[in-house]
Amino acid sequence: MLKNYLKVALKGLMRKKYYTFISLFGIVVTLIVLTISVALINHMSVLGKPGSRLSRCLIVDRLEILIKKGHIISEPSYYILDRYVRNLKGAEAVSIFSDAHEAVVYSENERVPLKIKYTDEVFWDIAEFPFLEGRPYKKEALDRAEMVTVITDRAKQQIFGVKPALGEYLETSKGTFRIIGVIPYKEIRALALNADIYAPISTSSGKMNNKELWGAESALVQAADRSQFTSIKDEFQNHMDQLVQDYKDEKQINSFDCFIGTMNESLANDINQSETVYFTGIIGMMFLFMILPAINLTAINISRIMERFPEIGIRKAFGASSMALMGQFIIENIILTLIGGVLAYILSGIILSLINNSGVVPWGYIRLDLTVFLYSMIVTIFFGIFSGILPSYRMSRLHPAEALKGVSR
Amino acid sequence: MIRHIIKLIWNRKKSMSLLLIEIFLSFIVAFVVCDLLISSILNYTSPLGYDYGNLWDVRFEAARGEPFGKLGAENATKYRLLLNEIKSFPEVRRADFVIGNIPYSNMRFNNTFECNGSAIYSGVSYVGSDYLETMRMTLVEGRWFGPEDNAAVEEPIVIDETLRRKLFGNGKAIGERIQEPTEAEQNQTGKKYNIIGVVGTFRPRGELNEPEGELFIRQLWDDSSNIPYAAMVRVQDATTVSFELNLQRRLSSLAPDINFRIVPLSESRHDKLLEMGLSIATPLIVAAFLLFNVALGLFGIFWQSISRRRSEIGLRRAMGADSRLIPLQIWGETIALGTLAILAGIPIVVNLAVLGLSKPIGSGIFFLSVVSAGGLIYLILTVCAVYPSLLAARIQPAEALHDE
Amino acid sequence: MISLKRVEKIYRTSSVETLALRDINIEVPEGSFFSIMGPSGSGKSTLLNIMGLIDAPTEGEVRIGGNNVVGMSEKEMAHLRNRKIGFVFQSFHLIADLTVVDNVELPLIYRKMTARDRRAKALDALARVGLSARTKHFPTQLSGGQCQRVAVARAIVGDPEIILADEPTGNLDSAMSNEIMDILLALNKEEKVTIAVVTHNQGIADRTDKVIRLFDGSQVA
Repeated sequence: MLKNYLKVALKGLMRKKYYTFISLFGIVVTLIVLTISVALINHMSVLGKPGSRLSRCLIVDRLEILIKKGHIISEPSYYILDRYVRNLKGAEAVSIFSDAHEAVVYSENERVPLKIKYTDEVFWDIAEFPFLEGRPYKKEALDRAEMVTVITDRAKQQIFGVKPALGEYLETSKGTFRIIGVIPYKEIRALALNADIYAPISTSSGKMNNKELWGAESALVQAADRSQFTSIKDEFQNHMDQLVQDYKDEKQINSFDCFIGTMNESLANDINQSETVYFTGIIGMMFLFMILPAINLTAINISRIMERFPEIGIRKAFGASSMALMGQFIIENIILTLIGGVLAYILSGIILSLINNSGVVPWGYIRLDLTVFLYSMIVTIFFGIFSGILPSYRMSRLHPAEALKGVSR
Repeated sequence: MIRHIIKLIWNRKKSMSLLLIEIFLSFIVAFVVCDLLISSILNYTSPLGYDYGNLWDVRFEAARGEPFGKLGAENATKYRLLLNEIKSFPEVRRADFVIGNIPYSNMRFNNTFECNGSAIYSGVSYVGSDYLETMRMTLVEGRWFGPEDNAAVEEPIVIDETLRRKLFGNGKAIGERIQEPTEAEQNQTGKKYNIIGVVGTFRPRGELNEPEGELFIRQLWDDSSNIPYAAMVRVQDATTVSFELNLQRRLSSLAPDINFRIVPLSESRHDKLLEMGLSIATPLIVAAFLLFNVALGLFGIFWQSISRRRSEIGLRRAMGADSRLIPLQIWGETIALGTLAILAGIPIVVNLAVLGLSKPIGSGIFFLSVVSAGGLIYLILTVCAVYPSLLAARIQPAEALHDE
Repeated sequence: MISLKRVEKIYRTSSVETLALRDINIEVPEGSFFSIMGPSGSGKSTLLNIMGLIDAPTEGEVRIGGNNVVGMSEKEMAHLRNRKIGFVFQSFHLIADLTVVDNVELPLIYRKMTARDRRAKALDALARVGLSARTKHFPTQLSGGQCQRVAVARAIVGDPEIILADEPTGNLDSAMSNEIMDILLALNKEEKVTIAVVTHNQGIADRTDKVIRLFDGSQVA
């Protein structure tokens, strides 16, 4: 039965080439936009793969201070993260690292701007990047402020081409570093961790000297598992209360608010919304974006059905049930949308790799993964059913006599 | 004829409801696109207020005191030394310090001021006397800071054209007063400033952003000044990257505790425009695909409706419509359909404007966006109707009316 | 009124040539009522279409009211159809999305006329076929006989000199058929409209002034 349906559906689609083309076009474009959007949001809001240490991390990346002279929104400084976050007892590990700053490499009158991230040694344990060559820097390197660096294979390719880089010196506007390790750029899957070169945070005098509350650093707080998040947040809050006590007189702080949470919560926090509101907003916008192609597809389907009214009338007159006709039609639609889904997934991959390789977008390496594919498939099936239901309902209400007469509008 | 077409569309509205919703949504998409596109084009083509070419941004990343912390004697000497060092390069024409809205940076520096009893939110830059010429801003009215301000009782201030229009409309600005907000808690009256000049609209956020108004407060870079964020450096034509490297080295040796971040402004401009451009281009590309998709669908529907309406068209020919009238009618029908959908869309579009999601209703841009969105919808409908209506014109009445 | 001389019609496709009409000579005087009979495929409808200027003969001469229409521009023919000829079809060909009165107005849409005049003439035509009570209905809400009366009203609304009816009673039962024939006969008698009817029905042919019989594209009587 199903095999028969499939055969008839595929034949029908091959016969109606223009219809198949517009339907596929609409489905594919819509799904590409959705798939890429989901990949982007994932890239910004998820730190690591399920099961990885990163997936068990909270991030401290934003503070808001009200002092006598004004209102400051910034990232915290190394100084306060080191004093008030590193000593969280509930955490398995805490890493402090800076934003990506610009480090310019001058080669032959050309200016190559690279992004540098200053980190501590714990960063490498939490991030779990695989090393292509060499090794990460250790605690001793931080203590001695050794001018060493880990670079990505992309930066290596950019500066050294095919020549070996390990052990070489990299002269930048931030100083001259000895290269001790190379990591694959593609494995840096989160925006927050993205950079071209990484160096011990003790080599940045500006960062170490900054005794202010605000700076350009973030901290990753690794928990034993995600259920520990609440207790860690509570402990964190106690530390912040302590901080306000310590600084009340010196800085004349009126209020102090430091953010700790998952990357999702951090994104939502950026626009002053709760996580649920933020994601409902995103889903709402995607729904709005999908409704137009879905209506388009439905309208085409209806017009296609009306063209077939006489044929349907004859089938009905000869005893075909409404259910059978509807089933045939919806299956035809689902097959079409599934083909569209697969096409869209392939094309999204190609487009993302074009974006990744063009270097136009300074986001890091964005990739599609299985979850994204599953999301698209759900959307696809929704599409198929949605665009098939109204037309087949129309069809099922059709009276054979009316259909044969062809007067119906 | 027009009345006849409207009647036909009106009677068909139920069976065409999906089509109507589709065009209605497309109109709203088209409006959002036009609004975005028109305001971006207008922004891009209006003057920046300064010249970004041959300009370098030398940023100081240093341990700072509290915000707006004073330089103090020791630091003032150090920064004066740095500025002199910068100016001593043969490539350098002019240079000055700045605190505030550095062009094409992500930093935003705003504050609320009071003027004639109303509060105004504006960008603020604390700058020195050489800033006007370093940035090559144009003075529209009055004058820039000079030695004559040293003895002034009220501190001098220069505003830009946008802020002037917001504050005084077309009225006089020179000699008016602007005040820092009074802090009720501290029982402290805000500082009063005297407007001495107006410069052309200054847009530090770059070509693709709206002008927001800017206000320049004078700094002498002495002990009581605040710590500068950056030096803007105007260099000679054909200055090469080696200058940047030399500058980096010499400044670092003078002040090893400061990180210097030296970027040609043309480069930060490139990054900023790319970032803004992407945020504008992405919705435009998506909308273009949406509308193209709708156009393909409409074309298919119109095409199929012609084959369904063969006998009606044949009948019209028999009743005396010549073959040129038929395509006209088909086109007229699509236009009538579009008009119905657009009329339904206008309240939504007005609501978008009221909610502040697009340009306000009074502005020319809103009107232009509505008109061009409507035009775009009519254009799409017309293009989609061309081939089907030519098919309709070719229908032979004898054949179409032939009874089965 | 209508005169056909040596009219021939050949349908050509790339491989087949079909002779639909051969050497037809007909002279229809003004004010006459005649019928065309013949078996299916004998060319009756083609003949009527040529008379109605919605099909062109391959050879021969067609005159309507003295003007030779062969070689006329498409626009002139449309004008002539609009002013002088009214059509009635077997399957009514009413536009489903228009009300009865709007359907009747259709030929007047293609004339320069005010909406008010159009409406008045359409209502008048509907009164003449006895459908004044149904003007706001849609065709799907009417019976077959009523539909055909609307079609007749549409044919006469423009005061044509000729009415061409292609099996007007083919889809109707005999009572309704007679009703339609009565209306057509009255038009012929009272308004001196020239009428041509294609029919299978001998009873209907008997009520007309003259019968033209076709067989296989040729005139046999």
